Amino acid sequence: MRRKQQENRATGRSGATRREALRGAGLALAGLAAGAPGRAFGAPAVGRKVKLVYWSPLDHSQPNPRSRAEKRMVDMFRERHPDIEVEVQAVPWQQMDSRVIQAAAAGRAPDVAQLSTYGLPLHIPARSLQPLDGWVGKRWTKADWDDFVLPVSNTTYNGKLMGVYWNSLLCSALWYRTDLLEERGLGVPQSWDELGKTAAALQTDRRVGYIIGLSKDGNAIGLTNWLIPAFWGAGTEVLHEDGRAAFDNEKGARALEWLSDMVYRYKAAPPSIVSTTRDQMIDAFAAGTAAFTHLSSNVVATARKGQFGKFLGIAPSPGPDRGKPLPALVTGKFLVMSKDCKEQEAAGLFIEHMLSPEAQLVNAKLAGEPPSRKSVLKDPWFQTPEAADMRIQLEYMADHPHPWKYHSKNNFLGDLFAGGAQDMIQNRRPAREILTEIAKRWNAEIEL
Amino acid sequence: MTRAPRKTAVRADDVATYVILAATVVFCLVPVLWALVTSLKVESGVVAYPPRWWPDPVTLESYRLVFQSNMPRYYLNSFVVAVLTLAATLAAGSLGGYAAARFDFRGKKLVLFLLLMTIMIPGIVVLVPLYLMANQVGLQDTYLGLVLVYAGWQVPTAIWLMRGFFESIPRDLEEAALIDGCTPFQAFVRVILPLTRPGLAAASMVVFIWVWNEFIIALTLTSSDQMRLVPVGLYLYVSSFGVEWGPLMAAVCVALLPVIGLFVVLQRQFVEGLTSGGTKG
Amino acid sequence: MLLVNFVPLGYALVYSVYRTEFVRRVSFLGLRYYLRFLTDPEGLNNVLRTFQYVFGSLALALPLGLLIALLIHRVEKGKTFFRTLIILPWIVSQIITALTWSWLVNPQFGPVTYFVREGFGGAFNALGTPTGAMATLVLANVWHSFPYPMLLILAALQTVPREAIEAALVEGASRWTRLFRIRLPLIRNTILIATVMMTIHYFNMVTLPLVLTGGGPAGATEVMAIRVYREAFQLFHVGYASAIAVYMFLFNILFSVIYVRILRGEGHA
Repeated sequence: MRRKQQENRATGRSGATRREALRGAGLALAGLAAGAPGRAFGAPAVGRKVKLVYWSPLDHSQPNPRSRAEKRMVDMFRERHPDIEVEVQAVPWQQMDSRVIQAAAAGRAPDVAQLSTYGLPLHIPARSLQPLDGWVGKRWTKADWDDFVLPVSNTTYNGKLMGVYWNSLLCSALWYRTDLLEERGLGVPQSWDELGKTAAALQTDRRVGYIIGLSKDGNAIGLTNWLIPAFWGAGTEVLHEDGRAAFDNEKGARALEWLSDMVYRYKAAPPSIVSTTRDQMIDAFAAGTAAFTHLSSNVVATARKGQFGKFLGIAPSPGPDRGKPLPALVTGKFLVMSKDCKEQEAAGLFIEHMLSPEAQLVNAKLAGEPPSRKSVLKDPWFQTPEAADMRIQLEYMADHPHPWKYHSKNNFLGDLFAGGAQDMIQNRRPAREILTEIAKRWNAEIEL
Repeated sequence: MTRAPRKTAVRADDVATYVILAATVVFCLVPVLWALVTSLKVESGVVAYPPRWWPDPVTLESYRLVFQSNMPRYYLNSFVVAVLTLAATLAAGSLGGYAAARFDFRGKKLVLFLLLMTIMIPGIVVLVPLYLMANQVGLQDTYLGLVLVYAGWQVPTAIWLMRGFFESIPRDLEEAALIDGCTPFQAFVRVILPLTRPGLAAASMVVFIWVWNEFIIALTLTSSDQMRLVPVGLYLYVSSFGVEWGPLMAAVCVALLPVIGLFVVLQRQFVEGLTSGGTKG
Repeated sequence: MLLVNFVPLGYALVYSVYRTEFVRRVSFLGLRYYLRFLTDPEGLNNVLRTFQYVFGSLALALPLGLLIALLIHRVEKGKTFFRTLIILPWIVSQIITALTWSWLVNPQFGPVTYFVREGFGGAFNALGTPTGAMATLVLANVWHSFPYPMLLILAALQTVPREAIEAALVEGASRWTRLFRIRLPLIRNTILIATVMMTIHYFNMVTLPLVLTGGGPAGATEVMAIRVYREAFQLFHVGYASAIAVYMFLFNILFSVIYVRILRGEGHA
């Protein structure tokens, strides 16, 4: 019987078109308080002592806000389910995906894991997970399923729900220095050209106008978090439906070329961006040695703590045309159940708890993590000045959505883009040529 | 050659020696001092430009954060694993090194070369197999598993190191001991081993530091907080939210202490090795 | 030892001849991965960079280690002081070396950058150019690793019987004669062992280059070990990664054989 229900739900889900789901997400977010039904989830006990192992990139013993928030979330679950013991094991985020795959090969994968923002698709061909269907959301209504900020189809593979979003993450927004713009009476740049000129104007001996990281470090997200939406903004998709390269055209080249322009035409970025890492981007902004950068929502709090943190301004990422920001690249960390999980009932309850409005609110308040559920946004906290950063980002996400599902070989693609961008800057090669080479290698890789 | 000019030459040499050594000390210390200075800064001063050469105000906040976390437990784990590995490795290494230096046996060259080959195996390629094996025999996430793998990796190094020291000891010494009625084993323990104290000290340093700093095997073979070793703990400060430089550098400074301590202790062994060396007795 | 060293190597050898999907073997390929690496233009680059890295580091770290060991051995005052402080970099792990150095030379806020910029003017960016990145990487590695040969050589110098030196002194040998005719030959074994160990260690190093430069810019510091790491743990090409690692292993054997030949050759001379 359960199987039957599952199938019904699965078809219902995939029946709703992607656009509808997105529009839904956008509307609810824009309204913020408009309110999809919030639901307190029931708390049925498993009925016997069980133990779950949860792999998190956060070391819960650390006193930083992110770790404290997740520890609080897990503690709430422990209070509610004294019969379920949760052991949290910290795994460095860069290694999370490979460690889960490795552990699954040994039959020792953790019950539940929190995967990186581009990690989930990798685990489908690796067969390291089991579907959540039947364990997560057994009692959910359609409204509950529609409550996700990102469409459920994003985490559905072959009709099966393979993971859910732990948070929402805006991968790239424009970061600027409010004090510098004010000093010069300049407005926030509205297009690539304006950004180039403004950044160049704010450059000094001790400060670069713009910084971005083209290093392959951390799966090259320093670059791809900006480049993917830049392709969209320039008018091209990244990949075709069948996975083959779609960026290999003049529009794609225009996006990539802009990086080259920032270095050589506007002279607003140093050539050293070829080896800059994402961590260095964050530090550079915090140290006040960069006037502009593009970074993601999850590092805002870190930058705020730096010397120049109070002057951080966040705006939609400008695109090629004035007044038309790039679409927002939105993803999130994933909660998944590994193939080795034997306590699916308990694991399902745990995952549901992490998605519950209470838990999501804790994560938003303590750690500044945008929730993965729309109904959470009804909370009055989101209207407070404290939530200002998050509001800007949530509105950007809602106003400029674009469908996106990472490819299972995304790591390889990121590697190619970073290598190509480095080559372009280092050897001053045309972007179009670079993209053609990348496309060739990408297409060969996925046909392997 | 007269005596007087030579003396002045020596003095000039001494000056040069100290200048070079002092310069080397500076080269060695700058990055470490930078870590120390960073660990004492307040959060907003950590990443700043122009760099702040001195923490103002000085704060122990980063150290407090380190000691409130699980790091102390990781230090304990690393210490236990390093000491156990050291014991196993030194025992096997000194016996093996002695055998390699002194005895001729069939296939010695082959054995030696196989030993050397184990050192040559690139660590990254055996990670996945090691992990799978550790799981099969139930040693994943245990002290024993770590010690076995670490010892297995370090014994060949220790043998090769010790062999060099044994070979530099004149053979007459043991021959004399054997003539005095010692068994070969007694000769080894009573006569030879004390002479190789500098070698043992060096091997201890090599093994201890290697274990203390080893990252990728520790990352692969442990998963729980109860078993985690220091380098993996340090790496957790390099989070997806950026690097937490203050606590990271504080934890690094704390991690350096036991090794510096060990080295200071072993210095005495060096000196003893020096004074007891030779065949005067 | 057999279990933790050779069995995993056996696994790797098996993986290297199969087409793999994650940790699963899919179909037998024979030596195709090995051939692919030979014709892979990046493969050639990887080998070249590895040689630059290994022998560049060796050429600096070994003489520096020897020099400092001789000097420390020679001084009478402050021996312990120098020994303790100079050993420090070696106590620091590869990860920390990489993080600290990347901060020191960071093009936006690094202290080294600051000095160069304020002192000489103009932009300075150690990791931004291929040559600069390799030079910085080698320098960081030398910083991290030269205390190792220093420590070994220092220990070996102390096993040199005083009689030998005293006898030479009586015979009126000059300092250089004592050094080249007596000290160095007596510690020759140690120096060669240090060389072998360091070469192998440099070949197999992953963490330092990965964290400091990540192989960039544009592949300028992508040594074979980084390539293997990326292929195996980021791109999940376990088979191909294993094949490259086997090449690394073969290089290690090759150079060790050469060193051992030298050791043995001189031993008989």
